[in-house]
Amino acid sequence: MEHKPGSFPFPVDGETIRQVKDIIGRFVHTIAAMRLYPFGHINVTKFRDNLYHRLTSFLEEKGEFEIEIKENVFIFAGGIVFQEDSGIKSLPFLYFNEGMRALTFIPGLTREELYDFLEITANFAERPTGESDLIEELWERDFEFIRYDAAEGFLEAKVAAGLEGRPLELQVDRNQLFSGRIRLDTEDQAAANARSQEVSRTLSKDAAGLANFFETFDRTDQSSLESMVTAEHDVSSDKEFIETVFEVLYLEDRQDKFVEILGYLESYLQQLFKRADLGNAVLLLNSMSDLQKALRSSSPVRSEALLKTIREITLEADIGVIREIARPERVDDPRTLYEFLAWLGPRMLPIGTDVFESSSESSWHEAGVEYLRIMIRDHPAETVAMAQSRKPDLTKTLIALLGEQDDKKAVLQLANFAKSEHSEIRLEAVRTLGTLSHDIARKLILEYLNDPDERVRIEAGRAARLDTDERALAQVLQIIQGKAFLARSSIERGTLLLAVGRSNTAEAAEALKNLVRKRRLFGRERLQETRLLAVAGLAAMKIPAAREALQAGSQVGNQAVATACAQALRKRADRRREDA
Amino acid sequence: MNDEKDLSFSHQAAYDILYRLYVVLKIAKIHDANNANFQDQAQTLINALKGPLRRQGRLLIQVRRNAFFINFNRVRFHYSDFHINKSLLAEFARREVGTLTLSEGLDGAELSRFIVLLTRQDPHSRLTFEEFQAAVLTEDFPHVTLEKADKIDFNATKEKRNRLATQTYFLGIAHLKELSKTEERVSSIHVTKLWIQTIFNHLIDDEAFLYGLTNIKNHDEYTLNHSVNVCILSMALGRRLGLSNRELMELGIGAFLHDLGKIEIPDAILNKPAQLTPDEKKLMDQHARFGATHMLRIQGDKSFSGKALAVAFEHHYKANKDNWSPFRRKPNATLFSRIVKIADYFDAITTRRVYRPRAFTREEALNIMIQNKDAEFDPLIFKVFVAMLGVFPIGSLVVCDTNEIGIVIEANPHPSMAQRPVIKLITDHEGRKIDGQTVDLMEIDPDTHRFTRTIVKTLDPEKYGIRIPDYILAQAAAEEAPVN
Repeated sequence: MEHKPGSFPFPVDGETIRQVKDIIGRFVHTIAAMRLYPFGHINVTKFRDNLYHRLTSFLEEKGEFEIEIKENVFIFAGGIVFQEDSGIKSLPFLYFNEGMRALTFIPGLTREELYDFLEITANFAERPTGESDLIEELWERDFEFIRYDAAEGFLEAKVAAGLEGRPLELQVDRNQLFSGRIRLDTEDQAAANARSQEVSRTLSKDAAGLANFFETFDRTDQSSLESMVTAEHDVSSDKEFIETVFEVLYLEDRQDKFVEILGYLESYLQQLFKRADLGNAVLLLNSMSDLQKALRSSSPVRSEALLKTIREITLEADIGVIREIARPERVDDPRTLYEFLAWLGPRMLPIGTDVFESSSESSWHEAGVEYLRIMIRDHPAETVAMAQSRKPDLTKTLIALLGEQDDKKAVLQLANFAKSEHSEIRLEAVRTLGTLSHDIARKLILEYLNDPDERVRIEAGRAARLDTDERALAQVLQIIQGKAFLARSSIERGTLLLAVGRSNTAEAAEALKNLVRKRRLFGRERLQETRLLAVAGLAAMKIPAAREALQAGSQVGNQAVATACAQALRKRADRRREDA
Repeated sequence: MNDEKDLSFSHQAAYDILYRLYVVLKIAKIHDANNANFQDQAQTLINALKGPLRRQGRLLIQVRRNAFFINFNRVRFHYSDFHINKSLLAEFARREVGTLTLSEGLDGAELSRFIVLLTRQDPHSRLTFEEFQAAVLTEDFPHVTLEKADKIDFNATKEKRNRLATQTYFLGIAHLKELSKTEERVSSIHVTKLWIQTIFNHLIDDEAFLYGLTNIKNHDEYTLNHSVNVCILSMALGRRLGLSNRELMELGIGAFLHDLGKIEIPDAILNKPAQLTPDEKKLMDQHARFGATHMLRIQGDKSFSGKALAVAFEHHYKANKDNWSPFRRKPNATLFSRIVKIADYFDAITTRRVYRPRAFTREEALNIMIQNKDAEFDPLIFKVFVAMLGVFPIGSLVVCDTNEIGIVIEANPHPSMAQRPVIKLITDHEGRKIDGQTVDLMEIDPDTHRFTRTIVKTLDPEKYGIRIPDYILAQAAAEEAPVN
């Protein structure tokens, strides 16, 4: 077929036809690839990008790209540039069948618009016939740089085809309309005559009022309207849906309808799951809970129905589906994800804790901590059970959160960690226990004094409250008096001896005094160090027995120990003077 | 082609040129070429054109599917400038011009001569594009060329277009009737969407005719007609406000189905020719909620349209929040509900009902609504609505100072000339009914230099037995041919 120049603002020569055929070929192949491969596949990306470059180059050079669509062919400048006769597989047929008769790309075409157009076409081609309309979908997308023309009357015929009956037909009796006479009544005639006399004031009273209303439309109004419309663009239809449905539910006093709407909401929630729209899922669940509370006293039956639905949702949510949704790369706001998981209860803890352990960004960490705080408050046993040695971050966070609770339940949960094989976990546990005031916490700390890990023992030594806990003091005194004590590191020995000193008891002073005075044939260096650490312990004490012990120490033959005791005594004296 | 590669254009520059063109065309219709104001504005236009012409060599002002493009850059109009778009489109359509090309070298004198030619009233019948182009060639405009519009740019003939629009209108009624009966049919919403898109296309093609169709009132099936009318008026209003196509679709669905809940109200209450009892009123007030429940059922789990649902539920919410639900979380009714409320109110009070034997005229209705605007409506949206319908809304029956009676069929796009719409004459100056001309009240008598006709009074059509819808339908009935 010969190519005609038509109304193109550029010469249509052999080279132009070659370019058009090339672009059309790429266009058809890209859509075929999009139907064949999953979203984001390298082939799709490559085809799409190539098409975009070719097409935009053409548009830059020529001005626009317009093809006519016939049943199985694409036509450019009167000549066929693509033909595919295989019925439903044919792209021209698909467009033609949907009423499209011309397709035009114009300069300014963006990547986003082209890709959306391709995607709408590819998705549409995959759907069963009659389930949707291509022209309608394209229209809703409102392309700026892509135009398509539908056959005249096509949409009307399609609407008519969707009806079971036939619409009314026009019946106007033109003869009756345009024959006869109208005589104004006296009142109207008089008013018309009067006003005709003063045509400069042509408006009727009512119309004049309207005209004034027109003139009050100013720039401030325009700006307010712009803001109003802009704000509307930002309101999601889903949010509007949820808020409206709950208002309807609040007013819906027919129980059967109420339950029916709850059913719609459940299936809607599944749609939100599929779309990974967690924000609206949370809004829906929160609204459900709010309404349940609001109806509790006024309508217990409806409130109970809501409660039942909430239970079903939390108990029946598919963990596999939720795990798929909860992948951090699919979620914009970690707080929403965790709020959603918290809503679905302890069954989702494995997902929540996995996400927590795997994310390192601070915003994710903070949101995760908040989630765990809620879970540990509402479901302590299930949450603590998530702690594992291979999840050290999670476990440490759980321990710290238990520490915030400072009650018996929390302390008992912490006790589980005393047995952990992971020394980091034990260390965190003992640190947390040290911050708690509960008696059980203190007792638990003592278990760590003989921990295999020195860091844990040191922490237990620091945390132990020897001033108020006789049993703890007795245990520590036993340790420091034992043979093995000297074998411990200087930090551990120092920590324990200082802790003993801070107990301010006579027994402690006596034990430290004995250490200061201790002599031994072997291991003299370690003993020397221990004796000096014991002096530090005595120096921390505020009771007379400590002063006496230091005085005794200052008399011993070991020069270093004696000097240390003397210095400690001087410091005590200085301190007392300052206190006085 | 190399010197034409840089065709980029800022949106503001493109808009400025069209705005200047609009102003010059408007003045040219009232004053002659010697008028100082006309000359000033023509010079302002040429100043706006000079820079782009120097840089790009030529300017292509094109119309495609009722949209303007300058050098292939689409120019979008804001609702407040809608009349500019409409007025310019009318000028291009009148001359069947698809592309107006201005080239470098164009000066003020040539431009002024062209504007005068473009706006000149044709002596007898309207010139075809070919005749007009011949006139352009004869009068020698070296820097102005014209191309004829494709058929698609201004669509089919007016009669054919009107016929399709009318059929679409009645298809809407038939569809809603089926929807009301068969509430379980989820697929129905798919037809609703198609219908809404079709209505939108007709709004783009000929907004005035669609407004005209909203004069159709079927008293036996009031709710069906009313819903279609409300849908048309709401979508037109939404379009003026600048809503996207997707939003217009939701608005359209909401408006179309806003009264669906009335299927649960017994006819005895709906059509009661007396004041409702408190119980009846209570039931009636619940139709908005019933409608929302029905919409949920129609939509099933296929496609939830939240804003459309909100329209059905909120369309009786008052702006002053008097009748709001206690469990309300939203601070305001959605913009769509506020739009539909206005359209709903307007269509309702312009319809005769058993309990309201006389319907208000369209003009009276707007005045009543102005009185109640602060309590009932969003005042700003209402202003746009009034601007959209015009001082004399389409379908108004008017008498001119010539004693001729006519029906308003198209509003004047210039706000300051809103009292000068286009009317279809239905009587001569002695009151004899005629299939009269369609006249633009902007027309000036060349001898007296005064307006040829001026409206001096609006009339109540019922008082004179005039069925306005029949005259509107007559515009489409010339070529009868049913769809499908």
